[in-house]
Amino acid sequence: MPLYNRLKEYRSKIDVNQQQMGALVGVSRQTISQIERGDYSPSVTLALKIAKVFGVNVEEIFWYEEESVDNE
Amino acid sequence: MSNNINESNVKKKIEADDKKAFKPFIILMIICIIGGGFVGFFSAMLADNADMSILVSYIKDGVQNGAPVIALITTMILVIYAGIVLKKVKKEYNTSLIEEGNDEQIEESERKMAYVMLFSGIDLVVVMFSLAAATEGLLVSDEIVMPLIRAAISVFDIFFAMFVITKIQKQCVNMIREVNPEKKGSVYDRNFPKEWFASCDEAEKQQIYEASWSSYKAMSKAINIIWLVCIIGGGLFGWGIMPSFVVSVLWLVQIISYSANSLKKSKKK
Repeated sequence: MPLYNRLKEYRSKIDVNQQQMGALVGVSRQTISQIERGDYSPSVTLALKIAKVFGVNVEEIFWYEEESVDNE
Repeated sequence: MSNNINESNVKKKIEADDKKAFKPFIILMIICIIGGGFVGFFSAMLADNADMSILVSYIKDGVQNGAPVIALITTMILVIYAGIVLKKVKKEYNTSLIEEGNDEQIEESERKMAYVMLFSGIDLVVVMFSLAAATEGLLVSDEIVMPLIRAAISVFDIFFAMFVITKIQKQCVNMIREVNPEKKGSVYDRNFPKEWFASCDEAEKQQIYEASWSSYKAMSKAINIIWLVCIIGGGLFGWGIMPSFVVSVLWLVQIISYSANSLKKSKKK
């Protein structure tokens, strides 16, 4: 189940780069980059911290979509 | 009632999985037993062969005499390779990449440093082996000059390699710390691995865990193969039981440390 996110979009709204974003939530620039690319799914704690930075619910930044199953 | 049905379904699933995997497992065991029998039979035949003993003696002499020189050459190659790569990385890897959002360049530079560190690790193993090979039988040999020369070259190799590897590691770590200020630790500090790990975030730790698991699986396979080689070597070349003993100790350390840590992690905090 892929996890999608609008982190880059929200980050640009408050005009911070990846390193600054990482510093705000206590992770590295690489982790922010990996999250934005969809290469890493953050823990619940990290996702909540990220949402708190933007003052929104976590579901507004992260969501998942069920992969479609082929009907036989 | 529904709990009993669920339990029964789970048991049936387990039995079905075991049944499916059992046949290929038995076939593999039979192949290994027959293969092992052939290897043992031919090893015993070759052990009686005088030409084989001479060949083994030549190989041993070649390794003992060549190892210190090869170790010196690999360290020199490392110096040249690391010198070229790290000089280039120093120019391209800096904080301006972060401002530009140039992820690709950052990752490319970090990958190059990772390769340099990998070759440093390989060189260290080569140099350590060279010292062991060069000093084998040193105190019991009838010869004096050649063994001492070999030992001297190997000791020089060790010091030279340690100096080069420490310098390379220091350069890589400091460059990474400049671009990633949250990273902590000095390569000269005894607690460096612990401090560095503590400064890694959840994603970096996840990468370390996944790499460690891959390493565990690779080591398990390697230990099995090396154990087999030790048995053949013991029968064919008269290596004695020491190689098998050493491999068994390493195997035990791996199994016990993994199991002990798994148990520790599963306990309530």
